[in-house]
Amino acid sequence: MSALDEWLAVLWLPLTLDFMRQALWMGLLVGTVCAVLSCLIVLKGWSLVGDAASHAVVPGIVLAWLAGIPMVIGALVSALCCLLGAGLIERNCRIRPDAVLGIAFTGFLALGMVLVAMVPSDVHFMHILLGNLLGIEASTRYQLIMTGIVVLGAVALKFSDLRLYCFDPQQAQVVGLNTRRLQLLLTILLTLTTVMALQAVGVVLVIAMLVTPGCTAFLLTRRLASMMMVASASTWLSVLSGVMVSFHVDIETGGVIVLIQAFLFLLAFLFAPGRGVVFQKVRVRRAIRADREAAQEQEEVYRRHRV
Amino acid sequence: MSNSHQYDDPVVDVSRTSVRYPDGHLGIRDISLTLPAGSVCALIGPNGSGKSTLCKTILGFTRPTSGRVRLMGMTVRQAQKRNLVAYVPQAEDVDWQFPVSVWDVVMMGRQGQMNWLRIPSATDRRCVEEAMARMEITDLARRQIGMLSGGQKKRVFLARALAQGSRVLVLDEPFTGVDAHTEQGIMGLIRGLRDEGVTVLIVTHALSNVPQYCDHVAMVSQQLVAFGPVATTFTQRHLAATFGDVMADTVLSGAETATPERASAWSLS
Repeated sequence: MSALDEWLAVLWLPLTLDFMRQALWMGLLVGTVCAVLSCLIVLKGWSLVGDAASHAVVPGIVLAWLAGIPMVIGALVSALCCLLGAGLIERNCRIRPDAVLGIAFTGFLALGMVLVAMVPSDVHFMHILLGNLLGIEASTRYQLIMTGIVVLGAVALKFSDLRLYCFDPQQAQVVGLNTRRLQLLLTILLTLTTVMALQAVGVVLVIAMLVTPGCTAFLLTRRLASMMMVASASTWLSVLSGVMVSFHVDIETGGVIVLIQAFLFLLAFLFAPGRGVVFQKVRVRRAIRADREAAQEQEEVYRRHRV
Repeated sequence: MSNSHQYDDPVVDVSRTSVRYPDGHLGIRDISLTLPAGSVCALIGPNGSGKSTLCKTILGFTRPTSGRVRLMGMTVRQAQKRNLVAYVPQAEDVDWQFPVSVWDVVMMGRQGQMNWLRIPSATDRRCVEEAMARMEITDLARRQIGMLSGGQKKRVFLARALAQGSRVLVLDEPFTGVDAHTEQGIMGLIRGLRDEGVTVLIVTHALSNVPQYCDHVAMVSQQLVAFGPVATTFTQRHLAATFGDVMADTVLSGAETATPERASAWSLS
């Protein structure tokens, strides 16, 4: 065995382990769902709504566990209560929507933390707050797979309507679509995605999974479908390398995944063709040089005419 | 844009409509107006006069606090479900960075008429192609919308409204930020649609050329200051009542010469 082979064997070691493979599969599933939804969230300008949803699910998850019903359902109900409640307050009050949302979701998070402290079983809920791909239980895994299928299926079926709703809700209304229903659909999909992302990275970092892949892909693409594919690809790369790195270096998987996503965004920000900073700088510099050359040529012509 | 079968009752029927916003701010007060099929009406008034509130109420974006709006005898929602209304937004209201192509945007005019999976039928494709050909943007089909010039952007959204094939068309400031050539093109299109029986409502700040392409004019300053055929309504007295004296003088000195005869041929039904 050569040195390279040995090195590769060590590198791929995590993939030969059953629990690591499972963590990776779950990471890829969660990542794909987050990436697809993140495109819609970023384009709709709902980043804060995503953040709110991720914090507002916590009391629901604790109560669902106490009541013995699936965690996803508790999370969905709790987040919808928070978001719809905030919407209701916002319509009847002169405070800005972002402030109302801030009050609502921190209130829900605080309630969740109180409940976590009151309920004796502690280990289980630490997963919610910190997230851990390696520690997903079998029953949870089943719920996540079903949720992922539902979200991706709904986006595939309603792709066109969701795109129109995000781009131009007024047009959606004028051509006879039910925009309230579309808003509710997007809110539900967002909440379900949040529940999935929680498992991977925990409450604090969910917003990264819901925003970063979409932003990276936005800089690289010109159509929504390709944006979703690029976002997914960037997330797969982050999850795969995140799982590998965290195995070898022994640090928190979620943190590594989010860090790599941020790094990929930075690369896109700098080097994206068309929209990247470097590309734009080069383009401006070229244009300036062309202007200068044209001016010199003009001067030449004048001079020749004078002589 | 639509079949030319006759519709004799008022197509747009706003009766005693008021809008007061939740914060107590008055949008419009007690406005009534009716427009027949195949007519073009300019909706004018100073900033904050409520002309866009009236426009939003007709489009169903804002609910009237009293009164009602009927489109071809139906509620706004019913008319929208039957795709009788098309809307061209202001350029500032559009997210030009959104990753959609020109073709995608024009196809959004057909969204309400596609099957539930939103797969375009042969008819949908034909309507989109015809609308794009009419607005001369066929060769831009695959462009992302942000990569267009101001005039091209306007034409994409006009094509979207055309593709929808509606009976009522509402245009919000169609002449801001377009050159004289595109302006003439849009006016020609509006006249063409009127001849096809479409009722066109235009919110505009460009007062001087109102007589060139409109046959009705509605002047709004919270209440309806004046409404009627351009020939009898677009006058010094009414403009002064809506905008103040100085403004009215400058507008009319430019417009008097441009007033065509056909405007007088139209009368309020």
